[in-house]
Amino acid sequence: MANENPWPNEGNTGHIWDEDIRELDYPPPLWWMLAFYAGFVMIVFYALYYPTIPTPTGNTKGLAGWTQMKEYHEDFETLNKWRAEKFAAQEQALTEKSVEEILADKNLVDYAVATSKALFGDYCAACHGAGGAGNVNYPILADDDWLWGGDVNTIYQSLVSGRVGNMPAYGAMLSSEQIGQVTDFVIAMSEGKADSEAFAAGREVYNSIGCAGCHMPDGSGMAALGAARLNDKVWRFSGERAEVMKTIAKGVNAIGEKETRHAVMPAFAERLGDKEVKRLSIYVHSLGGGK
Amino acid sequence: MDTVVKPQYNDGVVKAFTLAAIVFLVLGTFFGTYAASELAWPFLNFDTAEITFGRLRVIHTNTVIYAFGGNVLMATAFYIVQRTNGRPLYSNKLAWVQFFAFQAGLLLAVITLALGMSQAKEYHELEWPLDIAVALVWVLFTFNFTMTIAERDKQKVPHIYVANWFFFGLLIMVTYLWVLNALSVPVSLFRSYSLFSGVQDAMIQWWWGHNAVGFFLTAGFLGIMYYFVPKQAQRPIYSYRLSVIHFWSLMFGYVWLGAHHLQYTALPDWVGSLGAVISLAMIIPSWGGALNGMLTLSGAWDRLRTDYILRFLIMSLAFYAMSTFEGPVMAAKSVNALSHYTDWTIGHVHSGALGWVAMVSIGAVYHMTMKLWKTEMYSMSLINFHFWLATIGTVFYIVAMWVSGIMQGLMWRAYDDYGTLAYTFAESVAAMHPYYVMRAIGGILFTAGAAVMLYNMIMTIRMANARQTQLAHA
Ligand code: HEC
Ligand code: HEC
Ligand code: HEM
Repeated sequence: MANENPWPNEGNTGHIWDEDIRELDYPPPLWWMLAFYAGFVMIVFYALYYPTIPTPTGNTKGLAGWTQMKEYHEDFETLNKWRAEKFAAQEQALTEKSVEEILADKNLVDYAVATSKALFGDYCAACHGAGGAGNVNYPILADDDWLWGGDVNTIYQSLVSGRVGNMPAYGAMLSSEQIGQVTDFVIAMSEGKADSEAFAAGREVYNSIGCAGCHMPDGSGMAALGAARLNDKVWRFSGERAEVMKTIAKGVNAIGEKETRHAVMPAFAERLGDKEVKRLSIYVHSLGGGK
Repeated sequence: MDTVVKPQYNDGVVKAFTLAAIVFLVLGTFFGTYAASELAWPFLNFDTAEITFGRLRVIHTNTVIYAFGGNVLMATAFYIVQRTNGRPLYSNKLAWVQFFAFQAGLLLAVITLALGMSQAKEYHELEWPLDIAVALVWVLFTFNFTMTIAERDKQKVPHIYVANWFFFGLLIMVTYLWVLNALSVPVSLFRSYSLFSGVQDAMIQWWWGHNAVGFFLTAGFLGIMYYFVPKQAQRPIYSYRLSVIHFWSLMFGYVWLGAHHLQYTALPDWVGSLGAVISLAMIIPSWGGALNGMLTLSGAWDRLRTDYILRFLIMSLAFYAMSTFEGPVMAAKSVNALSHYTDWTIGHVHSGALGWVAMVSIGAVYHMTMKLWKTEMYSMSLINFHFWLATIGTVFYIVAMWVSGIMQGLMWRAYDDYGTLAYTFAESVAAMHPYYVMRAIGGILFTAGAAVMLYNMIMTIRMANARQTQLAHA
C-alpha cells in the first residue's frame, strides 16, 4: 500500500494491494483476443442460421429452416420409412386383424413378440417385473394362473380398458376370531387340506358370509370378477397368514376402507393405440400361460 | 514497507467460517458418496425415507453448494476484502450474526430436506421460511462486504482489487435471481407454490439454476483465484487488461445461459438457440480467467514441484478450463440431444465442482490456515497425500460419468433390426452399474482426502494454540 513501487521494472500497473499483490500491464495474448472477437462473429452467423431473435410477431426463422418439431418429425419419418420398407405387411396385418386372427398366424406372432421387448420393458415391467415375472402386489403374467383370464381376447380386454378387481373389506362384518378361522381355511385350501374337520369353522364362515359367491365354494375363483383362485399354491398378494388376514379384513380396492389394498391395472388403449395393445397382448399370451 | 503498521483484521470470524467450510466439505462429500453408493447398491437406503436417494441427493447438493461453498465464499470474501482494502470489516458484530444465522439455517435445511419439505426447484429447494432467512443472511453479507470497501481509506487504496469485483458481482446477481426464483404463494408453514407455472416456471428456475453455477460456484471462486494464486505463487497477476475483459464478459454473458438447460422442451426454439449460442461464446471469456491465473505462474512453474498448495490452485484452473469448454460444447444442439438427461451432465458438474470449486477452495483454505493461525501446517506431506486423493478421486468420477453418460445416450436412441427400440430403460440402468461403482470409489477417495484435510487442520490449530500458551507462559 505504499505509494512508491518496490517492483519498478517488472511492468506492473503501479497498484499494490496487501503488500505484494500487483498486476502486470501485459495485453491479453493475441490468439485469445482474436478468439474473443471470433466469438462475436460466431454469434452473428449462428443467429442468421437458427431461429434466435425475437420479433414483435414471433421470431426470426433462420436460414437453416430449423425447428425442433421439424427435426423430430424428420427423424420419425426416416424411421417410419425404414420400418415401412421392411415390415409394411406385418404392421398392416397388426393394424387390421383381430388378436385371435393374429394368434393364428405363426409368422405374425413371431413378429409381434420380437417387436414387443422394449414396449413391455418400458410400459409394463415396472409393475409386472421383467418378462412378466411379477412383483410384490402385481400379478405374474408368465404363468397360467389368471385373475381375469388367459385367452388372448381377455388379455386384450385387460389392456384396452384396464382392470380393477373388487373385494369388500370384512373387518367390520366379522369378528377377529372369525377372520382368523376363515384365513386358516383359505390357507388350507391352497394346501389342499380344506376338507379336514379342523377347518370346519372357517368353511362355515366362508360359505355363509359370501366368499363363495365370488371365489366359488371350491375356491376355484371367478374370472368374470377377477376373483382370485384360492385353491392353488399361487398367491396373488401373499400366502403369509398376516397378509391373507389383511386382504380379508381390508379388502381389495374396497370403497370407504382407507387401508384397503390397491390393485389397479391402468387402461392402455388411448396411451399406446390399438396396434401396440394388440402387439402386447400377443406378447403376454406368449409368455408362457396363454390359453 | 516494513515501517507500515499492519492494520488489525477481524480474523476470528474468518477462522470460524473457514473451519465450518471444511467440516461441511467432509459432510457434503460423504452425503454425495453415500448417494452415489445407493445408485450402485440400492439396498443401502434401508427403506428409510429420510435417506433414500431422492432426499439424500438434495441434502448433498445443498450441503456442498451452500454449506461448503457458502462458507468458503464468506471466509475468503472477508479475508480478502480486509486485506486488499487495508482495514477491518465494516462490522465484526454483523459478521458474527451472519455466521451463526447461516449455520443455523444450514442445520434446519438439512433437517427439513430430510423430512421431504421441498419447493422442488433445483438448488432452491428450501421452503419459504428458510428461503427468506437465507436471503436475509445474504443481504447482510452483501451489506457488510460492500461497506468495508466503501469505507476504505481511498488515499491509501485508490483502486479496488479485481478479486473484490468478482465477489461483488456474485453478491448482486445471486441476490436478485434468488429472490425472483423464490416468488411463491405460501399455503402453510411448510408448503408453497411457485408464482410461475409451466414453461415460464422452468425458464425462471433455470435462469436461477445456471447462475447458481455461474455466479455462486464460479464468479466468487474466480475472486478466490485472483487473490490466492498471486499470493501463493508470489508473482504478479499476468494481465490487468485481461482481467477487465473477462470480468465484464462473464458478468454480461452468464445470465443468458439458463435456456441451454431446456432445449428440446416446450421452450420456444429461439430462446433455446439464444442460450446455446451465448454458451458457445463463453468458452473464450472463461478461458481468460484460467489463462490469467496460469500465466501468473510463468517463470515459477518449478515451484509446483515443491509447493503442494500451489498444485491445488493450478490443478483447479486446469479443471476450470476443461469444464468451461465441455459445458458450451454440451449446449450445442446436436450434442445436447445426446447428453441431456444422462450422467454426462453429472460428470460435467463434478469436473467443475470437484476439480475447480473444491480444489481452488482447498488451496485457499490451506493458505489461509497458515496465515490466520500464524503457523506452518502440521504436515506438508499430508497435503501432498490429499492432493493425490482429490485428483485421482475426481478423475475416477468424471471418467466413469463420461462413459456411462455417453452409453446411456446411445442406448436410449438405439434401434434394432425391426426399427423398434433396442433397449428398455431398465436395461440402460442395469448397464450403468459398473460405472456407478467406479464413481462411488472416486467419491470415497475424494471424501477421504477431505477428512485428511480436516485432521491436518485440527492438528495445525492445536499446534498453534499450544505454542501460544507456551509463549504466554514464557
Ligand atoms: C401401475 C401398475 C401396472 C402397470 C404399469 C401395468 N399393469 Fe397390468 N396389472 C396391474 C395390476 C395391479 C393388475 C391386477 C389387477 C387386478 O387385481 O384386478 C394387472 C393385471 C394385468 C393383466 C391381467 C392379469 C390376469 O391375471 O388376468 C394383464 C394381462 C396385464 N396386467 C398386462 C399388462 C401389460 C401388458 C402392461 C403394459 C402395457 C401392464 N399390465 C401394465 C398393474 C399394472
Ligand atoms: C365381490 C367378490 C368377492 C368377495 C365377496 C370376496 N372376494 Fe376375495 N377377492 C376378490 C377379488 C376380485 C380378488 C382379487 C383382487 C385382485 O387381485 O386385485 C380377491 C382376492 C382374495 C384373496 C387374495 C388371494 C391371493 O392370491 O393373494 C383372498 C385370500 C381372498 N380374496 C379371500 C376372500 C375371503 C376369505 C372372502 C370372504 C370373507 C372373500 N375373499 C370375499 C373378490 C371377492
Ligand atoms: C465426494 C465427492 C462427491 C460425490 C461422490 C458426489 C456425488 C453426487 C451424486 C451421486 C449426485 C447425483 C447424481 C445423479 O442425480 O445422478 C450429485 C449431484 C450433484 N453434486 Fe455431487 N458429489 C460430490 C461432490 C460434490 C461437490 C464438492 C459439489 C459442489 C461443490 C457437488 C455438486 C453437485 C451438484 C451441483 C449436483 C447436481 C447435478 C445436476 O443436477 O446436474 N458435488 N453428486
